[in-house]
Amino acid sequence: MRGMPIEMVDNLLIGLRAALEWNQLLFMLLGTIGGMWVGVIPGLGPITAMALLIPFTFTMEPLAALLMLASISAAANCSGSFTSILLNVPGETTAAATCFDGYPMARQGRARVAIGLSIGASLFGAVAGMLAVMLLTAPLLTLAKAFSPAEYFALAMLGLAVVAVLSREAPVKGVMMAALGLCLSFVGVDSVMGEARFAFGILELQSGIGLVPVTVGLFAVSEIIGWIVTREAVSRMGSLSGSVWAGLVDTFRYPVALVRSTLIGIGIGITPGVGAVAASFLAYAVEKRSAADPSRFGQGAPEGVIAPEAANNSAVCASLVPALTLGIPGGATSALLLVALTVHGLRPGTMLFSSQPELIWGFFVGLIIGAFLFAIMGLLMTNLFARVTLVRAEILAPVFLVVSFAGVFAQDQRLFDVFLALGFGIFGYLARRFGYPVVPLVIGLVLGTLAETSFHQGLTIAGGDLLAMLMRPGTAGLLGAAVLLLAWTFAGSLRGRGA
Amino acid sequence: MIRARLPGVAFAVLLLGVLGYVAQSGLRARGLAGAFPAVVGLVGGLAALVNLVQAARGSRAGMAEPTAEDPDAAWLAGLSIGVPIAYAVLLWLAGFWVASGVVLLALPWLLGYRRPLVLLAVAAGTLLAVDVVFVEIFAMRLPQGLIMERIIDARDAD
Repeated sequence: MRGMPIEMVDNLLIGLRAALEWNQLLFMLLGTIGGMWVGVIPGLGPITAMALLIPFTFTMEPLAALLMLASISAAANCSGSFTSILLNVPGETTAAATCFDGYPMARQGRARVAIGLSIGASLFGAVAGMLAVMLLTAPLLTLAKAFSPAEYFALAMLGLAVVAVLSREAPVKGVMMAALGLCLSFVGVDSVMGEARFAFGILELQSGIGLVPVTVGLFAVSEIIGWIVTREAVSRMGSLSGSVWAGLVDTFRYPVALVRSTLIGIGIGITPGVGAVAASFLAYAVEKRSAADPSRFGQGAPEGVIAPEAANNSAVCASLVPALTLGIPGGATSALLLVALTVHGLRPGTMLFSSQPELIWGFFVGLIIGAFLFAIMGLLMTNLFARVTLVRAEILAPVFLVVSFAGVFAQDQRLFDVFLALGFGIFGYLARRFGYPVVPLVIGLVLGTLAETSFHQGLTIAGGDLLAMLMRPGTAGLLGAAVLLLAWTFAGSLRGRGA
Repeated sequence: MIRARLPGVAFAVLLLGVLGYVAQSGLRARGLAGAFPAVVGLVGGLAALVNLVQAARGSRAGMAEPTAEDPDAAWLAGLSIGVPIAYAVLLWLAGFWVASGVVLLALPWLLGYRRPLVLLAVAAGTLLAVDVVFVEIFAMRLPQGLIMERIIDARDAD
């Protein structure tokens, strides 16, 4: 054990030497610039960009290829929050939770401060996430291996219980919308019988309902509908106040929120299949629940931007642990990194760490350097981005309608997705008008497949004995936490109504 | 008073209908396959029923604040829903470039923006940016439209 810190320093030095070569830096810079702009376009995410660029990496050095692809993912993950803040349109689904408080800040003319908070929290989350990857790979591996489908099911249930916390003012509506999100995840081919269900004979529905049309519809199209109705620019003040630098500094005035959300992100990131979207929503919910005055949330609370950003960035980094050690991707972007690793003749696992220390440690250190590169570029370009909030709604609405529909279509080249986004846009607008929270629906859709598949796998492993499945210590603990969370929230809601 | 509650009640009925349908389909499915949808549908349906009762009684839980009355409200509400629907239909029929050009020029005009040169510049800039990003760099196809596809098919057949 005493040799561990020395070994770590040696590895870090090896990584630094490898990552600081000019060609690696150049590819990281290119990846960061590319990732930054694909991140701000809804529907055109890092997955598309990475998938398209993988063939170009065949002739590159493995480290340069991995760093370029990872920089795209990291930069897109951070810049996706810019449009969440400026336009209430998440550039990436991981940035959907940033809309809740980032957009109200933009409405108050504090878009630059919100972006500063987002950059600061993203930087902290990414660096802490990478340090956690370096320090905790071995012990966390043991824990991750102990997770069976039953625990994954319980984890999904805990994630859904968070829904009630998020919609504390109307928990019944929150639970109902989460159930609706789960129902949307049932559309397509059933994981048990392999039969199409809830597809109503429509071919396009048999492959399921994707996250992009749902999130673009619920967040972007419904917002555009709102702009047309009100004809107001995003910034109601008509001017911008505060600076991005002030926002960056403000991030560190909330150390508890920053550290707590980062730890949530790391915990969820190392668990395969849950993903950064769930991490950001969970971190937001925990901050809201822990706040002395939860009513500040949704009105432009700085912690409401810090929490999801720190959590999703640390989750994306931490998802590299199961990807590189077990070969189990924690999300779509780490799956693509695994593909890139494989096309270069490399195999994930313990052998990779011992036989290719320059590659692995150069990759880890390179990602930390990449996080700083993004922060610098974000600081330089924020003023330009923030001006969007001053543009009149009459101009902004059609431009974003066109870009949103193009993005939705481009992902799977299906016009059907455009109609889905339109449907969800109208539904989202009506839901907001009648006071229904739409975020639980997105969480339900995100966690639905994981919950159902794990439920059936867990039940099969337990020989069909539901009680035996639920009474596993890890499963029971997680389910107990979910029940407590629900009870606490409903009790708080009833007390609040009685007062 | 009751008339004011009707749209909210109708929305709550719609949600109850969807969740009830999922519960019923889950219960009818063979073996274990329907277990999870049935449980979700029943729990969600129960919540939807409580919600419907709340909506019918006019409970304020989670309701959005009413917005100020605007003399143009009906026109703007019609535009806000009608334009995205018309745009999607036009995408299907006439393709991306025609549909987007129409929306980029017509929507600001309908909303009262009357500076044609700015509108032309914004429309051209937006279409150029979409072309560069989606078509040129990422080699993605944008909707051609039913009419254009028919023309191409007819030309190929000749």
